[in-house]
Amino acid sequence: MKNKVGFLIFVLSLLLFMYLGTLFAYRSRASGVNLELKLKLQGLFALDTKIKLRVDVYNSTGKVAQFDNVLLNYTNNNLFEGLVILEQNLDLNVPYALFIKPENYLGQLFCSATKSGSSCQYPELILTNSLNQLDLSTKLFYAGDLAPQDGKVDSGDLSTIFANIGKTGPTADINLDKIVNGVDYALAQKTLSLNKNDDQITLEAPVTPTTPPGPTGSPPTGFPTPIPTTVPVPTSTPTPTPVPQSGRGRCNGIVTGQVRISYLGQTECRVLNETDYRCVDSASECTNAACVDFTKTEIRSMVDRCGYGMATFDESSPISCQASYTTDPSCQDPPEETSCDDNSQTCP
Amino acid sequence: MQKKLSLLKLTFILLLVLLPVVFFSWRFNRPEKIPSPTKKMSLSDLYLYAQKTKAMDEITSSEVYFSATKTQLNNDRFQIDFYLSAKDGMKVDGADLVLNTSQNLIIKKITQGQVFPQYPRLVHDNQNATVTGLASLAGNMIKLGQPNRLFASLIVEKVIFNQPAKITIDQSSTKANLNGEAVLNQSVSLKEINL
Repeated sequence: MKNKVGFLIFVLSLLLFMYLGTLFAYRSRASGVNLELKLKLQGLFALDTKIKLRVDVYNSTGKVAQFDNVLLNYTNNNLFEGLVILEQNLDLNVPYALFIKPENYLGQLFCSATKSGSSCQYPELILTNSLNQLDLSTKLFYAGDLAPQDGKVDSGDLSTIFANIGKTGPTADINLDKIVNGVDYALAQKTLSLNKNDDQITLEAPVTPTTPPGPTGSPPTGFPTPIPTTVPVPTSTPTPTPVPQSGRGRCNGIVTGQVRISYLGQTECRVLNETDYRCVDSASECTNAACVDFTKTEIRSMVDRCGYGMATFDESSPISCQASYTTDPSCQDPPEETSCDDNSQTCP
Repeated sequence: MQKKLSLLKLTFILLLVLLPVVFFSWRFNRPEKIPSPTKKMSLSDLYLYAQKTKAMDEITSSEVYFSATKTQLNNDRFQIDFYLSAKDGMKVDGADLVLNTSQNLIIKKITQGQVFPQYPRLVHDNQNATVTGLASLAGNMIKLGQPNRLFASLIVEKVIFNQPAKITIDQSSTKANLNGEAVLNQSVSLKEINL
């Protein structure tokens, strides 16, 4: 009897482990393709925020699948992450492009992790049966395209936010902080001022490398350059020597002035007093005016990167630059600034 | 007695096995829910809401329309002034004016008017222009757009000065809104300008 009970316990435990194992397996690897997405959204978010989005899957012939109500969780620094289970049967032998449209945001088309928007011409994403990780956080998603989403942000969207001020519903609550207020308005206004729209989807078939015809084969019609029948073999391989670019040098600048940045209706002012340099191809490129333009471009890019679309650089900020040129054929541009730390002094 | 005991034991074991199974099934298969929104109004939000309510209470009229005047600056250059017009007491919180020109006309310059406290979008290329004016919420002070003022000015130039040219208002994209509702009367509003 004891043996029988023991056997029964053993069998039932085995069944239990098998069942739980199946549950966990399904949770981590669904019957479809798993896609771990990472996106960056314009806005100010609380830690428990979840964003809803739509993922359209395209191949070179058109849309092949659509996944609605995909949820991503806020992690930090405007980043959202989550697992998308592409449940429909997708042919894993062809490349895909993804059009991602978060709720109340403009959509973006991705041919790969780095190619999006107008540079996305043909699908390049190769999906596999295992976990596919896709970090798209280099491209910021802009807010303001409220329901019914029409792929653009206009005065109608802003008016909807205005109408919902003080309300708690999700209709116009872009940053999902459970209240529609000036932050939501500022976010949509920023997108409108940048004249942003949904990415246009004009995908072509991927360019496949053509095999050049053999020596006896005739070139295909329209092939501009005939392939030579014999390839000359060099007797010795010449070693390429670096040729210094004529006039290449270092443009040093002493930048002074003030930087004014508008942020949610408030204007912040910082003292600018620093030295910087960039590489130029000739001395004529190193002028005070060019230095000011370059500095402004850098500030604008920093404001875009660190202001999450809510800050604007005032182009009329008084900035001056004392530029000086020194010849340096091997000049290397300084590393790109990625920090958002602000150690500058406020204007007196 | 022994049989009874073994049945009890078996039932107990079965329960012990089934309970976790049921629990885990429920735990991992339940759909993920988005937390329902709850009201979180700060003092600043409350002030903005009060400002908006007050601003809306002062509005008595309901429709606006675009109109325009044209001035010939020289043989081939024209200035077109666009106005947002309405009955007294009307205000708007935003408007888009979208224009296209015929091939013989090039847009040279576009400048904002005084209807709105801010014009965040003022873009044009040779043949198309978009102007958007919006209410301002800066510092939680609501400033709405006030019609019967200049909305925007356009300078255009004919490519061939003795040939006709036309500016068309894109009626699907041109809008005026108040509190989430379209208030542009398309039937009265300007549709095209012949030059």
